[in-house]
Amino acid sequence: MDAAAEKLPTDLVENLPTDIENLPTNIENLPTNSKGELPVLSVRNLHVYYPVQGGLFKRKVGDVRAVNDVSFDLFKGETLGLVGESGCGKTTIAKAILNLVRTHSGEIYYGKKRIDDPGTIVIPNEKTFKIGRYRGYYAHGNYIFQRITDRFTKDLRQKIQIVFQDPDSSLNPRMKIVDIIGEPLRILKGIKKKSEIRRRVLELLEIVSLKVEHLDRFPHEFSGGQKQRIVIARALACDPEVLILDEPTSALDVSVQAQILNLLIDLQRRFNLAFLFITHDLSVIQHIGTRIAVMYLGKFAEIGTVDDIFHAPNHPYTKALLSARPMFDAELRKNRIILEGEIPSPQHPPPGCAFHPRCQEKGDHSTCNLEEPERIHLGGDHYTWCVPTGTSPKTFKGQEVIS
Amino acid sequence: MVNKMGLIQYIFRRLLVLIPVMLGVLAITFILTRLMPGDPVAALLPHNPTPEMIAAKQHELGLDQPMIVQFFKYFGDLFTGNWGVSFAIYPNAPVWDLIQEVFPRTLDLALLAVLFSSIIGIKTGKISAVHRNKSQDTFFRGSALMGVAIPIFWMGLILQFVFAHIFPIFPGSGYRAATADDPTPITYFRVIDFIIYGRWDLLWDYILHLALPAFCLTFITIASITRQTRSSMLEVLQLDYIRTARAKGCAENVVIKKHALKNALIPTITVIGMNFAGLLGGAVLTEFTFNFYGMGMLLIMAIGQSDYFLVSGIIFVITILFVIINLVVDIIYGIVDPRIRY
Amino acid sequence: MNETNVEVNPVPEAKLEVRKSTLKRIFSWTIRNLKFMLIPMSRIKDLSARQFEFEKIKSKRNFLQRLRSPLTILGIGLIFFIVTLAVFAPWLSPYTFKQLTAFLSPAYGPMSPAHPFGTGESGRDILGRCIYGARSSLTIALPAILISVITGVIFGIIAGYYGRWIDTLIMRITDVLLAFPPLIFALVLVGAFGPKIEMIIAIYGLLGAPFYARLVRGSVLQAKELPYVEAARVMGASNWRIMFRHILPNCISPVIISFSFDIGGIILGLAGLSFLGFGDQRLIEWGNDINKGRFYLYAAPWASFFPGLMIFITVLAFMLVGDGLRDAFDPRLKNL
Repeated sequence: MDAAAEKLPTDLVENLPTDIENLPTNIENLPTNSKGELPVLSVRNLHVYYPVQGGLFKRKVGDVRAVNDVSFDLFKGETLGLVGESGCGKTTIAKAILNLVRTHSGEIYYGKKRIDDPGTIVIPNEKTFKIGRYRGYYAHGNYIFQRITDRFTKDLRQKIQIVFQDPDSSLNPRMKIVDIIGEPLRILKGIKKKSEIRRRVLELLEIVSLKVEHLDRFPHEFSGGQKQRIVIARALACDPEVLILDEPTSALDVSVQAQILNLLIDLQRRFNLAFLFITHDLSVIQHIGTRIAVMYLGKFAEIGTVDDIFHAPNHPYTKALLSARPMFDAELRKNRIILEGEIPSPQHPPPGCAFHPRCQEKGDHSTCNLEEPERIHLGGDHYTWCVPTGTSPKTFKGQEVIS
Repeated sequence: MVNKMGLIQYIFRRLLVLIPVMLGVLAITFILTRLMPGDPVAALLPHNPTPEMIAAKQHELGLDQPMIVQFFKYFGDLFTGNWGVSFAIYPNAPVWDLIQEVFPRTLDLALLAVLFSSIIGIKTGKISAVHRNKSQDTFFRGSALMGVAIPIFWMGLILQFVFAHIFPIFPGSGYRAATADDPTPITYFRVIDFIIYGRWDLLWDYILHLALPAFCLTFITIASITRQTRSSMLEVLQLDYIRTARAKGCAENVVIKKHALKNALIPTITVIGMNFAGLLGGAVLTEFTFNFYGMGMLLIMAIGQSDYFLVSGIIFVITILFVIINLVVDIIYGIVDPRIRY
Repeated sequence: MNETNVEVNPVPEAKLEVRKSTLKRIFSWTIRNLKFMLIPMSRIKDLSARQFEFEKIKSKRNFLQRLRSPLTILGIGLIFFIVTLAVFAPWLSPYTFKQLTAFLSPAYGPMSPAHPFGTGESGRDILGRCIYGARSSLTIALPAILISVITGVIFGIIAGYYGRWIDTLIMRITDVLLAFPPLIFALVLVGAFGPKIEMIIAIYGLLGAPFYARLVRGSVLQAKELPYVEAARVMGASNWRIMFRHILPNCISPVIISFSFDIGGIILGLAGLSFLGFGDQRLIEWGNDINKGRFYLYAAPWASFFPGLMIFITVLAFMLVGDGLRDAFDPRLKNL
C-alpha cells in the first residue's frame, strides 16, 4: 500500500468539491433495523495495524494486526456488546472510531459520512499516496476529501463520545469538575460564557445524580463510582448519538457496577443513545446488551442478538467463553470447556482460523488450519465465522442453565 | 543471553548517538573560542612585524582561509593530535604537550577525591539509611546538605588559613615545593615517575600538596554519594525480598550487606561516575584556590588571555572525557542491573 | 458596706456570664450558618464558590503543615533575611554604594566599630559590601532561573509530547549543552562575550534550560500516556491545550522543587565565576570580594571569610527550602 509517494495532482486538489457534507458515498445496501432506520455507525472491513519496532535503528520490523477485517453496524437506541479476552482488539476498534489511531484500511461511516483517518489515499487512477505528505486530503470515490481531522472533527467529537475504563486516570487530577465537564462545551460547542457553562455542567451533573457542591471539587475527592458518573457526564456534554463504553464498570466495585449499569440503561432510553459496549464480562452484557459481537485475536468470531449468543452459540470460542462464566452448580462446573494453550501473538497469527490451535472442536473439522473461515449467516442477525461441519447446531451440557 | 546481543546493540547505538553530540560540542567550542578577542598572529610575532611576516604567519596558522574550511581543518587536526600552539601563555608551545603535562595532576586530584568520597559516602549513606531519622542520620544528612551548599573555594580558603597558616601542617598552595628539583618526567604521572626514580621525598611532598585540595573535592563529592546511597538504600529496604530475608532468619548485618547494599549501590555507580566526570572538568575552582597547577588552572589562564587554541584543546579533552565516562557508566549500569533491557 | 457589695454583685455577674456564653453560641452558630441563611438556592454559584474557597484553604493548610519542618522554616527565614538585605540594601548598609566602590584607605583594615566586618580592597567596608552583594546575586540569579525554566519547560514539553524527530533534535541539543561542565561553559562564554551582567544572566539562563527540558520531557513522556490526555483529545482539545492545560500542571512539581535548588546552584556558580575573576567588575559581588581578599588571606582573613559566609548562607537557605518543598510535594518521598 505504501507505494511511492508522488505529487498530488494539482487539478484534483483545485477541484475540491465545496459541498463536502452532501457528497455521495459508495456504501450502498446499508442494512436497516426493525424500525426501518439506517445505522448511525457503520464499520466496513476495518484493519488496524500497529508497527513493531526492533533492531539496531528501531526500524519497523512487522505489524501487529490488532484489528483484522471487522465489519458491523450500530443502530440508534441499541447496545452492541464487544466481548473478548484482553488484547483481542476491542479497545483498538474504539480508538479507530474516535480517530485516535490510524486505520490501515477499511472504512468507518457516521451515518453516510466517512470518518476514518486512512493512512494512505487512493486516487481514482489507481495511484496510492502516503497521506502524511498531503495532510488534509483523502480521496473517496471520484472525489478528494478534506481529511476529517481537519474538517469534521468538531462535529464528530460531539456526536461520538467515549467513557474510559479507569475513571481514576481519565480525569485530569489538576482540574476542577466544572472545568473537566465544561471542556467539551467550551471547545466543541464554543460556549464562552462562564455562567452558561456552569449552568450546563450543573444540568449534566444532575442527570448523573451528582450535586451542586461537587461542581468545584477536584477528582481525588470522589469515589470510583462518582468519578465514573463524572466521566459519563462529560461524555454526554455535547448530546452525543453514539457512546463508546470501554469497560466502564470493570474498575469499579461490584455494588457500584450495578448502579452505573442502571444509570447507563436509563440514559440510553432517555436520549436514544447507541452504545458500543466493550467488555470482557458476559453477565454485564447480558444485562445491558441488544446484540453481542465476540472477538478473538482481532477478528469477529460470532455476532448476534443476546438471545442468539446465550441460547444458541455456534462458534466454539463463544461456547468456551460462556462455559467459563462463574456458576453455582458444582455439577455443571464439571462440564466446563477448558481452553488449552496461550493466546497466540497477534504479530504472528496462526494460519487459517486464528482460534484453531486452542479450539475444542478442531477434531470435527479438517481445514481449520488452511482456510480462513467465511462469514456464515445463521438466520436473523446471527452470523458466525467458523468452518462449517455440516452437523446440526452444536450444544453442550448445562447450556440451558446458562441461558 | 538475549541480553548480551541487546547490550552490544545498545553500545553501538549509543556510540552512533555520540557522533552528532561530539560534532555539536566541537562546533560550539570552535565558534566560541574564535569569538574570543585574542590575536595569535600578533602574539607570536616579534614587535612591529612586517606585513609579509603577518601574512606568512596567518597562512601557517590557517587563519587566512574561510571559517568553514578552518572548522573542518580544526576538526581533522583534533583527531590527528595536531592541536595547534599556545600563543599567549607559552608562545609556540604545542597545546598537546601542555595538556599532557597538566592533565595527570588533575587526574590525581579527581581520582583521590572519587576514591575517598566513594568509600566514605557509601558508608555514611548506609548508616543514614539503617538508622533512619536517628541522630546519626540527621548528622550525615546535615553534612551532606552543607556539602552541597558550601562554596568550595571558601572552604578551601578556610582550610588554607587553618592548616597552612595557624597550624602549618600542609603547604597552602602549589603542587610542589619551590625548592623541589623534579626529575625529567617519564609518564607525566608524578606519583609513578617518583616511584620509578625512587624519589620518596618528592612523593611525600606531592602528597602533602594534594591533601588539602583533595579534601575539598572529597567533601563536596561525599554529599551527593551519601544522598544517593541513602535514598536507594531506603527504597531497597522497603522491598519484599528484604522482608523475606529477615523472615527466614538472616542476621540484620547480612541482610544489609548482602541483600540490600548490593542492589542499592547500582544507582550510586551512576552518581560516582558523573562525579568523576565532573571533577575532571570541574576542579577549576579548587585548583585556582590552591594555586594547584592542573588542567583547570591552565584553562583559566588560557581563557583570561584568550589563548584560544589552548582553550579549545582543553575543552575538547574535558568534554570527550565527560561523554565517554557517562557512556561507560551507562554500560556498567546495564551489565550490573539484570533488569535493564535495551 | 463591703459585705453588701459582695452580696449584690455576684448575681448579675453570673447572669451576665450565662447570657454572654449563650449569645456567643448563638452568634457563632449564626456566623457559621450565615451562608445557608442568607443565600438561597438560586445563588448556588456563590455557595459553591465559598465552599471551594474553604476547601482550597483546607488543602493549602495541609501543604503548609507539611512544609513546617524546622529546617525548612530555617531556610524560609534565611531567604527572607537575604531578600530583605537585597531589597533594603541602601537603608541597611552603613555606607552608600559610592563609598563602597570608592578608593579609600587603609585597605584590609581590621574589624572596628566603624567597620564591624573590617575593610577590604581599597578600604571598602566589608559589611556594606556583604549587604549589597545580596542584591547583585539575586538580580542575576532570579532572571537567569526564569529564563532557564521557561525555555526548558517549553522545549521539554514539545519534545516529550511530539516525540519523533523533534524529540531527537531537542534531546541531541541538550546532550551537547550538557556535555560541557557548566562552570567551564560559563567561563568560555564570558571569555568570548565579555563579563557584562546581561551576558551573565543569559549564560546562566541558557545553562539551566537543558536540565529543565530533560526533567519536563521525562514526566511528559509518562503523563501523555495517561487516559485523561486521550480523553482531552476526544473532547476536541488542541495539541497546545493538551500540552499546557492538561499535561503541564501534572508535570510541574519536579520543576518547582528543582527551581529552589537551582537558585542556590546558580548563586554558587555565579560566585565561582566572579571568584575566578570573570564577574562583572562594576557590581559588588561576594565572589569578587573573595577573589580580591584571598591574596591577603593570612593578614586579613575577614575580607574573604564574611563574603563567603554570605554565599554559604544564601545557598543553604535555598537548598533547605528545596528539600522542604520536595517533602511537601511528595510526602511519599519524605526521608528518602
